[in-house]
Amino acid sequence: MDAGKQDEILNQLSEGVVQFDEDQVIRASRRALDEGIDALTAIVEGLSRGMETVGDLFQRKKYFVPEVLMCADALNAGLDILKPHLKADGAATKKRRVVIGTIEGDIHEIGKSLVALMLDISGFEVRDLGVDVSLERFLSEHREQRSDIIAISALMSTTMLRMRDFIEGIKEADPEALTMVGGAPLSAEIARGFGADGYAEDARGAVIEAKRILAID
Amino acid sequence: MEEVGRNFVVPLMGYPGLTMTGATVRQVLQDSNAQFEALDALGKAFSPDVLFSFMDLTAEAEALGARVTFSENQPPSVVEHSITWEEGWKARRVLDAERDGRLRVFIRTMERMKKNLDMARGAYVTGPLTLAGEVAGIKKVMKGMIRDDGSLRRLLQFTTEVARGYARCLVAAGADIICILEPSAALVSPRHYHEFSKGPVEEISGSVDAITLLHICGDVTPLIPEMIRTRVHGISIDSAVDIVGVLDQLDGRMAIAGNIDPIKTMVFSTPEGVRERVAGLRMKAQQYEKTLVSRCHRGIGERDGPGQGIHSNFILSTGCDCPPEVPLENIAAFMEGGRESIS
Repeated sequence: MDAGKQDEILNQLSEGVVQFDEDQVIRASRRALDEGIDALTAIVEGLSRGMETVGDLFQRKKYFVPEVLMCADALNAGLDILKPHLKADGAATKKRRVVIGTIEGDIHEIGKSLVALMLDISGFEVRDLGVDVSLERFLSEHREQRSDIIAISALMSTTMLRMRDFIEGIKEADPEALTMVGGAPLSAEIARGFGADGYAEDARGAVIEAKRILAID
Repeated sequence: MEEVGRNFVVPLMGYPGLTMTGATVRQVLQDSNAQFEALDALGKAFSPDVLFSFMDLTAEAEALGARVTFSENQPPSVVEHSITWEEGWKARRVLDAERDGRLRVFIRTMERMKKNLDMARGAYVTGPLTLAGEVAGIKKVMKGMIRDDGSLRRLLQFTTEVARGYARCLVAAGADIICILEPSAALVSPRHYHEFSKGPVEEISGSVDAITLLHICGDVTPLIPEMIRTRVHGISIDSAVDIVGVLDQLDGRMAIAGNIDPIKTMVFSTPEGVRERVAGLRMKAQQYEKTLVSRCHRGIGERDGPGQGIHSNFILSTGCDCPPEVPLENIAAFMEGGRESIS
């Protein structure tokens, strides 16, 4: 197919996400498949690119949580159409795995779910454990998934204070496990103090940080 | 420099009182005797200018039927919503504060505080936007701002009415100050704050005969211009915000409380570190604080009869509620640092 047409469709996907226009994303996703664009390309260079722009707008305080949630909905509408068409790929087994959840006692999930989404569309295999996740559950899922990173979110300062114990518990159970933390009350300094291997302020940063601690680009 | 009158020193603290009485979180939030005893211990030990009761953002949601998890030593969380987005709230009556949920625990506590404590008394009310998220789902509320098809506004009318009613009960029980807690507003743009949050907050503030403060946790720097224009007596801000910059913007129009970090400083610092932080903040604030005359039926600090509280518009406080882990000596250091004279 001609590169111009492919670019046009990829741009429609990307713009559809940024403008949280679910209809546009759905139309463009179908078009992409009809025109023979590889589903992975459509996801990475269309949807994911759009979501990176969204992350940028969020960092620059142009977009806030309501807008980002709408963009995520548009993105998911596209993924629903495109994901089933991804080629089964030997490379999938080489995907890095992340187990993510909100810490026990805390039921906030918006930020955590956005991180999970961004990691997913950036090539990670993500297991989202939801909210109020105990240390035991993080560990059992980590063992079962053989995950590379355990990512823990906390939105309240009270639950955040428990992160230190969780990280210690994880290190004790598996010294090789990498931990990443995030959430509004945290800072890089606090994360370091807790012994976490990584910290990110937002979903976009989480992808960069996950790659950094795994030493992949 | 202008003689501004004294600074009020008001750390937001309830949970550190657990260390003093040995009560658990569950006990103080479910039993007004246990709550009062912890607050009484704090009041006697530290004599803040205002003593707030325990911060519990789940009380109203629970009274509206949301399911709340409790643990012995963690503040509770809402785990299950009670209102379906489509129509549930239309059928509901507004709260009966004496019967629904645990609201009466806070009302009884306030009554005892009025009877037994010397200092001014503060109470918290969950703001309408946050309450809407707790009962109907925060994601739906957030997206509802963009869709703006009327359903969110109707829900907010309901939660505003709930908050107003509860605030009035607390004032009737003896609260001098009502602090409206709106953490969910930190998630939205200034435009959406203006559209969906400002009006409801003003409705509550306008309907109680008390001083009102608006507290939004987190880095609310983009919201500050809108918060300053909100018709409340003062705003309370978190440690991530440059409070001195805000004082400068305020130019004396309202009070501002804040913003010592309740975790980094109050939990993790030494008492000397706390004093240093407090002294540093007060020094910086000096240039911008202005005199405020509280024209309520009772000013803060003026306890007998009608009158006017004359004080600085800068209220030394913590950026958010102190968790149970705050060492008592750090609270002592906060109070000492807040009260010693600074040149």
